[in-house]
Amino acid sequence: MSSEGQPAVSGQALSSTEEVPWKRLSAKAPVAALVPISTVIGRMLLTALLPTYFAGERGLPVILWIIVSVIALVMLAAGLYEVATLSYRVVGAQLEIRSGVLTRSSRFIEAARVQNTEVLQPFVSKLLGLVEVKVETASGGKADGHLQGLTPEDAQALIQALQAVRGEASRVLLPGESSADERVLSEARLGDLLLYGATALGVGVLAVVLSALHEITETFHKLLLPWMEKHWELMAAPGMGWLAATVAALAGLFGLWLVSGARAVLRFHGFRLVDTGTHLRAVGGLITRRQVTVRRARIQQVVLDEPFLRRMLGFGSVEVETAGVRTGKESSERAELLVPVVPTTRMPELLREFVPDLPADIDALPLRPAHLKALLRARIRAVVLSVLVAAPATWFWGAWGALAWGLVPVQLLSAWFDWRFQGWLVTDTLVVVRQGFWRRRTTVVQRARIQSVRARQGPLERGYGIGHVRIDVAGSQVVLPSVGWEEAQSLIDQLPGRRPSRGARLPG
Amino acid sequence: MTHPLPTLERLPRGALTLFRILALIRMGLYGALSFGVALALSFAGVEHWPFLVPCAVVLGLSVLTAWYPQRAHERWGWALREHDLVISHGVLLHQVVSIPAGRIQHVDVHQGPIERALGLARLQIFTASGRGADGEIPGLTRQTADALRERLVRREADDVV
Repeated sequence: MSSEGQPAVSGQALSSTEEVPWKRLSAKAPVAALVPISTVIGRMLLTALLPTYFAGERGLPVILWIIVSVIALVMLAAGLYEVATLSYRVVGAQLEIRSGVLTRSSRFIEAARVQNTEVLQPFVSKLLGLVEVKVETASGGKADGHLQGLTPEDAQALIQALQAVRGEASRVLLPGESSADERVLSEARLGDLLLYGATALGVGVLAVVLSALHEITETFHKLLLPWMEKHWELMAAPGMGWLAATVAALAGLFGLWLVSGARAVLRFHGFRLVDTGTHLRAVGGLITRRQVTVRRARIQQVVLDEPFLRRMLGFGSVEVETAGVRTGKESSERAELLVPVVPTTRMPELLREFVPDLPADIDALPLRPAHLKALLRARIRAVVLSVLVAAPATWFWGAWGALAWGLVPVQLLSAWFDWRFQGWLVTDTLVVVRQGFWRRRTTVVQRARIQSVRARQGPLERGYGIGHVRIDVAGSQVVLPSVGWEEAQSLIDQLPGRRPSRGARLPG
Repeated sequence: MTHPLPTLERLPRGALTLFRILALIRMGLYGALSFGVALALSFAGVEHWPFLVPCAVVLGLSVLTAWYPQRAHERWGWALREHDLVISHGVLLHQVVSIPAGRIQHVDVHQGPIERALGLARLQIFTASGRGADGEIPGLTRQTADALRERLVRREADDVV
């Protein structure tokens, strides 16, 4: 791959540097950038101002406010000026982006190194008829290209130019367009998305709901209190406490589902995954429309996310990872491409689109179980954890706290479940790892893409003679279930897929 | 199955000195830190026990300093094989890392002031996995580190990502 463009281009690029004109963003780009830039500045200043506001009696003196506003305005102006002066061009095999106010910086992104491109259309941009283009490479984070405020035609031309350099001539489409010669691999209807949201309870949803609950109780405190005082006798009647607790729990659960469903619809409304030959393209989103284009050959890891509820409802979701590095609390946020709803019957077919070598029926694979000693370890951990919770609970709350001892069998059972339903398999080309019963995740890694393998053994594991193996691919990683330490050590030898024809050997 | 690992090359004698010096520095640092905490506590009006904290910290760390560097030095080992570089280390958490030869993106040789004084160097090996160094060998002699670096980077690059 590294030899794909460079030698042919170097001569040609030098001669044509003068000829290729620079392209600017759209004239409306600064308007579209106004909201995101001021949000960033606002957030930055807010964290700096809040403590001083609460510390002082009446906030900051006027002069400081003036200084702060001037700083904010200067930052805003600089940001807008940067957007207005940003220019880019595709020279030879590279995308060159030039920007900067005081210090000019040029960034070169080699087309052959592009992992995936993303076309976004946030709400303001949509009103102005503009799009954003993100070009992701494996270096991750800040070094990638982010062009805000392109006209759709320019965006199309840019992505097409990048693909043409790699010798892939396919028509580039924008969000909302479709072409006749594409195969639709997956689509999601509204009902499906609500189900997806309802079964995707994660950290992010909990945070949203908790902060919303806090706001609501603050607001309605004044309204509710008089009513409660008026009906005090009724409230104190026997059984009311239980009723209130149940109602509160149900309302909380319902709220969680509502928020989660809304988030799913916001992110995936009108989701479509199509196959354009060399690329996979996914479009979706209600307010911000997002189009991700992933090169088939760049797929590093595929994760099948099937929590218990989703399996019962007959679907699962698929996360596709490329080497692009993303940050996020949940794995669904880190994945470059997420297919939210895939019916179980269509799952094998879709998975083979991502990983052609995958055997026909992934559920029927003869997965190897985790080491027997791992069960013992999980049981001991379960008991210790439950005792750590139950003993203080009994100490503080007496008889009611003693109920916490019920945790012991529950934890033991779930330890067994987790142990029993994990498995791993190494085939000629793939590594398949399955983990969890309630939150089952099946990870498929191509052995040819493994970057490094490590065997680890903690002090407790040493006592049992077991260890675990971690596989790193570009952009993500997967941990295998526990195996014997000897086997773990030999696995690090066997796992990386070798391609003898390429002769990657160390001299000497 | 016999032991699947190849015979590992050990770190030079100087590395043990390096580990000991680093442990001493760490001890001093944590000691100073806990002394600061104790000072703050005593200013805040807590009597009697605050200055026991730095004493306990230094005592605990000095036991560790006497024992840990020796063990760590024994545990570090590396082997350069035909297809990969194997690094084994860790006192509490044993780790064995294998980095396939074709996957190495770049190799750094670092020399801090102490390492320079001892004529040692730290080798860091990066792949495309994108989370910092994948492999690290501290306390190599400068010559070994340079030779290793030469052998690791001088080969035909594979399509790594």
